[in-house]
Amino acid sequence: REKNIIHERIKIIEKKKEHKEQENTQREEEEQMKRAAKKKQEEEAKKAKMLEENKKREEERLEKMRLEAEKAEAKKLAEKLAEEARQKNVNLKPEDLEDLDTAKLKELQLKQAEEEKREKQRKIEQLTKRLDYTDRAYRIEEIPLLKKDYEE
Amino acid sequence: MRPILLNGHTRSLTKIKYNREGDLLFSVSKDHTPTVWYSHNGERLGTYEGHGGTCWDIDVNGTTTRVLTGSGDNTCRLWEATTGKQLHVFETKSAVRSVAFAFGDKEAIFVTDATMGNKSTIHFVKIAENPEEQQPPYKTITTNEAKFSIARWGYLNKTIVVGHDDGTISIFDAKTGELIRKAKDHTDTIQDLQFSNDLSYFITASKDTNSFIYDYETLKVLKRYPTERPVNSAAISPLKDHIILGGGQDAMSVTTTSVTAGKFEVRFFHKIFQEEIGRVKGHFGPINTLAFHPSGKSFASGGEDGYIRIHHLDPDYFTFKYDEEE
Amino acid sequence: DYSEIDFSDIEKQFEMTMSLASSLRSVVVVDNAPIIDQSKEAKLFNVFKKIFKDIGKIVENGIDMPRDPETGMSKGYLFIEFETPEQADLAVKQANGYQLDRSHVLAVNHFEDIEKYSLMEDEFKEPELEKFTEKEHLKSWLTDERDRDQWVILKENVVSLYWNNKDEQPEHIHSRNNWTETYVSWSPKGTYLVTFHRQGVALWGGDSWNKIVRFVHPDVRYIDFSPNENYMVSWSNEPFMSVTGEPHNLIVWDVNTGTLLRSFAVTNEQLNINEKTKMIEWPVFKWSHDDKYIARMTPGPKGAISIYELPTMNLLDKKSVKVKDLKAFSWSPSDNIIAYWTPENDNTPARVTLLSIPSRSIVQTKNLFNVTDCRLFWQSKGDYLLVRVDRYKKTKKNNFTNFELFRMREKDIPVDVVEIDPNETVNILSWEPNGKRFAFMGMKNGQSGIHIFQVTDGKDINKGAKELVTIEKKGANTICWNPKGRFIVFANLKGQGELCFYDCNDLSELAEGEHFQCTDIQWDPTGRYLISSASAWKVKNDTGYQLWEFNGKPLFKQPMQLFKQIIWRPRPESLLTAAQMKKIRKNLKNYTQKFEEEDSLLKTKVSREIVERRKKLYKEWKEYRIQCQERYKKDKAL
Repeated sequence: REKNIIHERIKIIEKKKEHKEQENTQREEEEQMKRAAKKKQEEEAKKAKMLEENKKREEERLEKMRLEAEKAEAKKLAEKLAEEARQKNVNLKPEDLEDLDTAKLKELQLKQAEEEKREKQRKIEQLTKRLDYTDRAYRIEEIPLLKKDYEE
Repeated sequence: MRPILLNGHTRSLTKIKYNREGDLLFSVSKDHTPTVWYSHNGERLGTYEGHGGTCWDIDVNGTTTRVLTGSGDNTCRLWEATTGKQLHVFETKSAVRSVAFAFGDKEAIFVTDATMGNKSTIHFVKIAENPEEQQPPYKTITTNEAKFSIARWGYLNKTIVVGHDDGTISIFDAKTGELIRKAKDHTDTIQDLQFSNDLSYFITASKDTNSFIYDYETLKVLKRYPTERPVNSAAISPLKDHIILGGGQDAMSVTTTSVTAGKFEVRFFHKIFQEEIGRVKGHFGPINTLAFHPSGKSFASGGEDGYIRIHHLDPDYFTFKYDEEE
Repeated sequence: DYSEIDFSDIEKQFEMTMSLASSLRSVVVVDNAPIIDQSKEAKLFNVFKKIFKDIGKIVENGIDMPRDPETGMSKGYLFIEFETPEQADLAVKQANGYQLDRSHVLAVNHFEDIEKYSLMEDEFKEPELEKFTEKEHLKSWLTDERDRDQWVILKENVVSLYWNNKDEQPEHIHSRNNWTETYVSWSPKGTYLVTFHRQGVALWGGDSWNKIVRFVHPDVRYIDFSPNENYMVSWSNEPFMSVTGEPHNLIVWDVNTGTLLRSFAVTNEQLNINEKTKMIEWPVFKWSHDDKYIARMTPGPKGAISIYELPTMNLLDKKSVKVKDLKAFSWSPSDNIIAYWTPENDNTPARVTLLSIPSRSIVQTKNLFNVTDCRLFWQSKGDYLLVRVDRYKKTKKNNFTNFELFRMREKDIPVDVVEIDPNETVNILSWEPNGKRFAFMGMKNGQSGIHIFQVTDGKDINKGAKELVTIEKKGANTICWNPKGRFIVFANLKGQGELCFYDCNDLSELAEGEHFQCTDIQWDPTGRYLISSASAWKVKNDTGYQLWEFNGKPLFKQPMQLFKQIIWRPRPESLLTAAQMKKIRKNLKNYTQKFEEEDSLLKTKVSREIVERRKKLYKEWKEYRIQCQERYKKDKAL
């Protein structure tokens, strides 16, 4: 009977052992998984950091290039404006333009172009009025002559 | 703002229509494939596959659940609006020119052409809740005179307002089918007929180069907008006292040289003063169909060139006002 | 320039039908006859029988002279019926303008022309003849206080006259249906509006737009006035038989009296038929600037220039100027000098010759070698003659062009050579009116450009003329100088219709415009405005016209179905002297305020009218909307 009881217990213990072993394996597996996950996470973080750094470097490079290009453009624009100014006898020295950045220069150029357009338009309007008024003035003075001519 | 170009149709547009909210634009063309688009970005949402001929008209119901299309393949088809699923086919004996849901979506009409032995006919159908129970037309109105070119529901679904091939406008009692009133001010085909928001007046577009605003009740011409070219479409702004017209030469006489490129214009008129206020260029061929967005802040045009253009109006447009407008 | 008009459409449109009874076509009306009493009737009838003896046979009792029932005196006109319509035709042609005695120049016309509509009435209605009224002021349109100009429009079959109102609706003056059967034109100084009919040409004018004179020339096609409007030449494709039995197509008329001065037969070679268009190069007869002479040429080996004196129409010195191998000639626009050229021939070079008339003395010649063609271009004041010389290279491979510039105002008329790029093909060339500049359109390596040249003075190292600028204008196929000079428009006609307005003083573009598929452009006589138009004779769609300011500003657009023609009414030269004009220019300030006030007043008036119209429409619409709302309420209540 006792044998039976022991047997039973052994069985239970074995079962417990088995259970424990299973638990251990499970825990180990879990830990391993955790470790793997952590490792993966770390790697990803590292990768992300690298990417981030690369991106930053690239951006810096582009920014530098952009600035250089802008500067070159500004210089070209400045020269062009100075040339245009020289042609039109506007008092604008290249030195005045040196410190300006592209945006400001562009603004200046736009302003100059608009100013020119306005000036041209103003001149055309003036001319139009003059021609119209001249013709009308001729007519006014001619009307009496025409009437006299008819009466004769 | 730059217009949005809706590129998808392979042949000339015949009709475009916004749904009630204006988020979707429905279009039919000679390429057999009705299409629905997102109106804010011009993205194609889907197509309605099944027709075997030129589609002449399209309508969407008030809740944007059903779409009705009429085609030269002698069918009028009912679709599920958002899935493109075909729900029912109404077989006809001739081309379907015009389709329209009644207000409240319980009914619809479609117009068929006159052919040998068949008169030009308006067919009335009840739209079944369950498409499988959909019945054929229960009633028709026919004419012995110039054939119907377009039909629309009148105020409270009491009447059908019809445009004819000879320029006549007639109003039929929707219940009895009797002719209530008729007017002949146009001398050539009514190409389009669009109502004001409150349905008290409507605008016509005619091949005779004119566009008129009619009082719905009396069929009196209230406003006239004469042009030099056939008018294919006319729309009333829901926001401002403006109307837009689109048209051009007949498709047959359009010169296909590059000279005419992009010259076809949508013309803006002041609705009340009848003065032209602006033009929007863009299409490479005559403009066949126009629609105002329900907000009045943009409009769409469909052209012989196969393109739909959605134009968002500039802020200036909304602030501009004549001194004489109080 | 009517040679550019294709008449085939018109002929179709105005298919001429002879609907009148043949017996009435045999009747002529003789006007300006002496007013006499019954006793002298038989004697007068005998005189008429004598006059018409050689022309045709008058039927028995064929003369009818209406009398005033009260006084018993004749009314100064009578009807004569001939045996055939042909005899009546001849009577009109031969006896119209017959000097009966010192105070009576007969006017003989077809009865049907005088009163063709009376035929439809049962009762015979006395032909309403033009009574002598005080001569109308034919130049009254020039006295417009606002210094506006007129234009004539032919739309479908309606001729209408308008005042130009700039950006406002043009002011309608007068319209008539079927006023012309083909086209309309103006006399060169704008005095007469010219209409064309199956039977001939009619001139109209004055404030009443009454008929002033008429020239019977069946099936008339072209006319050409003398520069001072004293005479006119007309051409018909259908010749009539002259008394000598020769078929005549050309008639020279006295515009002031309406009489036929002389008619001519023209041989095909004299006609100068354009090989490409198969149309005659009109005018065939060319007027001298002062209306004193008219000349025509016979080209070829038996070449000659025949000069006739006005008004006798006798051949000057009874003989033509013989010019062997004559190719082309033209009058100076300011002096009685004829320029002509002859081609290279065996031992003689090609030659441009200037001939003074009437002396026939040669005032200058220029020999030219390797010539394929010459074209003569006079500056409008006759200060310069530019000859375009097309030459072949010795290798005969490709042609090149240069210009010879005759300085007419300098002693002995020096001739300068103007060289241009040898690869340039010269197409169109025209002088700046009254100016020193000329423009031509050239083609080089498939690229077209517009070149503006200026005549140099003696000090300039460039002899003759120097190029001021080359303008690249894609599509431009026409150049059109402002009549006052300085400004020029380059246009693309019968295509996209781009217009470019250019200032030749600043050498800069003023503005660009577009009139899609326009077929013609035309400056107003003052040079302040330009009209571009699309004629139904040339294009199918979008016919109508547009008005522009000289600076390129669009002023007015008028689409018009079945629109055919629009022509500004020309103006004569001003009666003001150069000194008076100079004074006005100097004192322009004195006028400025007045004009500014006038303009602003006009603007306010126009804008007030518009505002009132809009207000009315707005009010009506509001009332309509209220009505609609009430209707809606009623419907709801039901």
